[in-house]
Amino acid sequence: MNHVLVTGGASGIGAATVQALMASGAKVSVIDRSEPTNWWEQGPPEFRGTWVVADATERKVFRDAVTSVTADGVTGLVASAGISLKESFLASTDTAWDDTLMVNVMGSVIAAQESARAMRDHDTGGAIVFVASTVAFGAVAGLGSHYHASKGALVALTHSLASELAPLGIRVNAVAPGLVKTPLTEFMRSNAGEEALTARVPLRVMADPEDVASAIQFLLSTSASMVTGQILPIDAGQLAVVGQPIGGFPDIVTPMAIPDYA
Amino acid sequence: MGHVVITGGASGIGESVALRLARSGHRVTILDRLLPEAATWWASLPAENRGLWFSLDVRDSSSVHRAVRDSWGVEPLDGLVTSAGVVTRGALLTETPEEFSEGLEMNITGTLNPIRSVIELWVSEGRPGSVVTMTSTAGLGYVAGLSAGYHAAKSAIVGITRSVAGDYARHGIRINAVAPGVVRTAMSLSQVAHQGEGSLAARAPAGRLAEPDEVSAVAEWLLSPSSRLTTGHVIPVDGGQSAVVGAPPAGYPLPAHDTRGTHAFGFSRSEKAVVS
Repeated sequence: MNHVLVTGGASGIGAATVQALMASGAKVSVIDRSEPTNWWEQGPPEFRGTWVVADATERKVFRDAVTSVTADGVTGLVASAGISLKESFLASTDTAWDDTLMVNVMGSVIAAQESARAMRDHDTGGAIVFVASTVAFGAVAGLGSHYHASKGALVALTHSLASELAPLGIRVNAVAPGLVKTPLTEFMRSNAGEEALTARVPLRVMADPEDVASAIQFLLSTSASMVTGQILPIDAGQLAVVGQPIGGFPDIVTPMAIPDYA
Repeated sequence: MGHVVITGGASGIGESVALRLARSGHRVTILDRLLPEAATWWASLPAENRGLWFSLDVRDSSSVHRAVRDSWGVEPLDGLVTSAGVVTRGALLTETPEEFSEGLEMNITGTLNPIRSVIELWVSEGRPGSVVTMTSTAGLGYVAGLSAGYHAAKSAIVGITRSVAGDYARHGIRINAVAPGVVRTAMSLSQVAHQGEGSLAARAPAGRLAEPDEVSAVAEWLLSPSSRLTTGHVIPVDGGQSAVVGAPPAGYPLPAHDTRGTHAFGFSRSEKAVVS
């Protein structure tokens, strides 16, 4: 049976992915900073691997968690643990940069490294999916610069690992969700309203976590056997658009200062 | 179950798409310059999966338009896969002006004609749908051995895909492109014979050619509701070729595991089978 590790599996995209994978008949393990959820406890025992509570800001604890979960082999990794801190660049603190890069980038690196080692040691091959974002390709107002930087790093990591791990039969891809109805975007939805947010994208809808989960499932599956090193947007067409969104940009609250070089 | 039109469905990737969708329970209609007798599998498809077969030139907008209307009469359409195309090998100085023009006509106009006819019906009938176009790694970057005209045409298909995605999203119409690398089809066999499979396979981290069914698997996902939030995008099916800016000098070694066989997560039947 396939065994997939999902980091950040307690909520949002991670939780939807865990449930979709279990429904398709894979054994799933979770690493999350939260305790096991009710739906996990009530899930099908034959598809329930282990749930380890670990926070990716604690590097050693997190690595040990991945090592223990993958000790008997793993054929898939979904690295979906991520945080978003809402500071402006000028006000951003070193702590926020450290935490964001630690969880979003190093957490994905550590999970991928230990999982790929297990795939190599058990001689199984496998598939890795990172959760990048549309912010890796352009500015999305309201999400911090540290979040943009961390997701950009995952795109480069996807390219590099696809090339380096291909000889082991390991594929590496990423999804790039736009706005998804998850706890992470709750503040944007309540501040701006869903209408203003969906006006940014051609399909005029926000993704449900299940939409991202089905794309992750596709990238893990043999239907994507020749797909590696790629970034798959789940963005309702956002990235196909250059320039003004349908409906126009909202009014600028604070006019930009025009520097006087005279 | 849905009804899907496939251009260039008599052979190569188009044939593979038709067979895969028919196996999943869809009805497939073929537009190809060849006669149905050229595809021995066509007559053996179950009647409920066999739509119509039109032998036509995809450059001729009026015959494409009639074919699309007639197939709608059999069953309203849910999907379109535009895989008709020609490849011109060589380079700027070896491709004649006539070959260049014919390549653009076949690949660009021949892609646009069926898209226009199908979307016109979807919009007027208020019906959603999904289109999959065929670009190529040559639509994303330089691929040695393929002509300037082929690069131009496949880049144009990327532009068409983005433009149509933006304009018709409000009608619930999605359109995405698949960008195959070297696929084991009759079209690429001459290149394989010329250069040897090894050097072509070594272009991509996966270290092998794609099989046609690996391309149609991605097309099927793009037609299915599992991809309902993906539009205006290009998915390379190239074993990582387009993720690489610099390949190792001696090419990639053969992977220890064939990615087709390991970690076999299937789709559930419902996700796989339903179009739009």
